[in-house]
Amino acid sequence: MSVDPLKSYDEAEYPSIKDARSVNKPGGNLKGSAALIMASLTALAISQCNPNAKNDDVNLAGAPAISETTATEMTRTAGIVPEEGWFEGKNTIPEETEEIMLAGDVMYIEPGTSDAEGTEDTVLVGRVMPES
Amino acid sequence: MNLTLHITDECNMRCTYCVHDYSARRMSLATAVAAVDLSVRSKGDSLIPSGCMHTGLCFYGGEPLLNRDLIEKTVAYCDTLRFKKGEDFQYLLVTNGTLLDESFLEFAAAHDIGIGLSHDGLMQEDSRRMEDGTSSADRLEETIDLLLRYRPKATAMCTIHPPLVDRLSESVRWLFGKGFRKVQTVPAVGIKADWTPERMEELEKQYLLLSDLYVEKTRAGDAFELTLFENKIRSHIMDGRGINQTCRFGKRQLSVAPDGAIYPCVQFLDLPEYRMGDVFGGLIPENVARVAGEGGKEPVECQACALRKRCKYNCCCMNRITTGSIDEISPLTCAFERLAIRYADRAANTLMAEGDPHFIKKHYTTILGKDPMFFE
Repeated sequence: MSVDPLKSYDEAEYPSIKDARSVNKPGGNLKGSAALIMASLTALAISQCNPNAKNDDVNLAGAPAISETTATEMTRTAGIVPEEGWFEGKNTIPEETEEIMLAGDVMYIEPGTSDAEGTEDTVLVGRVMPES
Repeated sequence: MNLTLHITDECNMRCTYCVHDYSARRMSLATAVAAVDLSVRSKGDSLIPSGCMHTGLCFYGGEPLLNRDLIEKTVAYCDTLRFKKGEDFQYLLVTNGTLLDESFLEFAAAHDIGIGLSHDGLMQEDSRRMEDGTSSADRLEETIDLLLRYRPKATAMCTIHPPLVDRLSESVRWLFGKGFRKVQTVPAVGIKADWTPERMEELEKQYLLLSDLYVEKTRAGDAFELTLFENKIRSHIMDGRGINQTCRFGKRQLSVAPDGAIYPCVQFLDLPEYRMGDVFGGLIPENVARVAGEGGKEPVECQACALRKRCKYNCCCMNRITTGSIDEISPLTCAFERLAIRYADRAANTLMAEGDPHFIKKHYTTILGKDPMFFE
């Protein structure tokens, strides 16, 4: 075995925030779950591209806008009501919050919330669970 | 400041992969109280800005319930600070569960103490035996039910011992079947963990089966977290943003040895070069800076890797134990990470191709700020 850095990797075929950035106004023409996904990712892209962006100028920030159709669809399919803050350019990615983790946890941050949850175990490393 | 308190070096079990240095060392109440005071005093401290936003205590060991009295008295002390000064504490306990009883679980529930139970599922009988050689699996059967009755969000922490790797997927299934909603799995590493090529092949087979299990449980609408895959899926969706894949060495949750000395992480206890101060005198700024500098180094070979944003290549603990250096990644870690990412993506691709509503809600609703597990 050796450390073998990958030059490229394309096995992930599900949408990511990168897709939201590369598509022009996807939310307006999509239905159901696709609309939800793109709306989610678009909101995220907007907030990250330009935390101070207004809904009207998000395209200037390089991200597609969320249409009213998409917002309506999002609410219908998943019961999610878009928060006012998104459209006002409020950054939905909080600064890293710090909550206590189980030893060995790796933290991930839930965007749009102040919550952080430990997932993924790392350490173990021979001693992983010292009590063990 | 979040602190992991190593309240005892004793353990009543002898697990096959464990390389812990057992000793009679125990933390005193005076040390624990000093740690609590430091945690409160340092809230908002710019010395470790990201580690000082909360006052969190993780009780750790050895087996921490061998020093149960200290846990109860420390929490009682925190209660006095809560009532007098409005301080808010978070608690966690990592335990092997063999000393859990109803009275402690009532106490844990009353104080909202999160619990991580180290349990290897169907591997437990062979990997995690008591100090006297007797079975721990038998005595934990009822304990798990009791634990989940009082702390339903308890996490099962499952270590994969290489000779038993062929039981991994069934072990995870068993743990979910017992009622755990969150299961962590981690390959054991270190001098007692021999990952031969054959065992790595078997690990890949097991990850494939876990990928199928992930799909099966998601389709069924189960509220569950299989941490092996969750973070890898989110790291793709988020393009690595907002996701901290590393252990934040010396930055977010510091470890306190039984004597009160402070170290950057549980794996660096008692290493003088990593001592950052102590709970009585506080952190020493130059030591903190030195440790932060060490932790900031990254493996050179990983910098151009396409999986960099999704990998734990920079886990100082793992790197030190597998390579002897905190900024060198071992081929073993690289292989573990690639497998986890590949099979996380396999499950996610399948579910997305089906337009599975549970998968979409779990991962994409999360982006909208909903609870990933309990979105219903």
